[in-house]
Amino acid sequence: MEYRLTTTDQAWCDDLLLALRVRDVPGARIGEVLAEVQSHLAETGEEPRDAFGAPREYADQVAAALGVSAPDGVWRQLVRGLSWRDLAGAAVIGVATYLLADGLWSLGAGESAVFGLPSWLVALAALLVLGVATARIVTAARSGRDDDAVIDPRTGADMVGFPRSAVALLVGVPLLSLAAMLVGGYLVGW
Amino acid sequence: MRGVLSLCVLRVVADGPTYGYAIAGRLADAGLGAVKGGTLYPILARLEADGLVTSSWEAGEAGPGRKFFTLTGAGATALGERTEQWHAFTQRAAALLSSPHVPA
Repeated sequence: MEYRLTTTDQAWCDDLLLALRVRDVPGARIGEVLAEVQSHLAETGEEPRDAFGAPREYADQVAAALGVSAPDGVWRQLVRGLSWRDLAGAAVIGVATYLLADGLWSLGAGESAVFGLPSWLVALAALLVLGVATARIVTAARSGRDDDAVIDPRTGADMVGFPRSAVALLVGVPLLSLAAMLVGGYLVGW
Repeated sequence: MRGVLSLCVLRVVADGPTYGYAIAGRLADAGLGAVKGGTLYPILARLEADGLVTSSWEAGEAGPGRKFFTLTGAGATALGERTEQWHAFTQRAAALLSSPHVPA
């Protein structure tokens, strides 16, 4: 689509999307509302805040018009959505990341890692665990567990894409940090 | 006043398929003031949820498209009923307001 929102308008729309999600408005309906807002703004040249007010208040109005009851708080929703497997997965990833960092640091410094284990062994094992965990997360995200996607009524496309820049950031920052560990250990150790 | 605005929106849509900005323009021309998008679209969503109007997206030339609203059969019936109710209500209200003042 050639039409593009300005950054501030997009930020307002993002806030609205989140506010509608929190209010349990169905994804298809959220897509309709966002498309209406974009259409209205393009037609009138108005600012979203002038035309629709604050994102949260507009989300309240939309939810009321659709007869969607306000759900319990954001935190309760978040906690309810978490399973023990998620928490265990987070713990495993956390420990493996620590061990990988420690392994790389020791490797750089030419020392042995935690519990006197060979640093290359710790780093390799942690890398394997992290690789498996990452693969699991990516497959889960790819398999479309999101059965209530925000669909653009005009194109049928998912309106909440995962841009390449976000992927680059998610992969790049940890890689950079781990490389820094190796270099740091080297600089300190020699 | 919200119910009346909804009735007026229904009346505008009864003139043929139309979209949000054009509906706001018609309401403004009718002297009902500038109706904000934040007021108008929830009203239209409610009308659609009640089955009184249907909607469909039409691609614009360069813009993000327009959502056209069309009156349904149920919408036409509701428009007739609510218009009558509104007339009856305003007549009674007007009669009361213009009744001679009776000192207690």
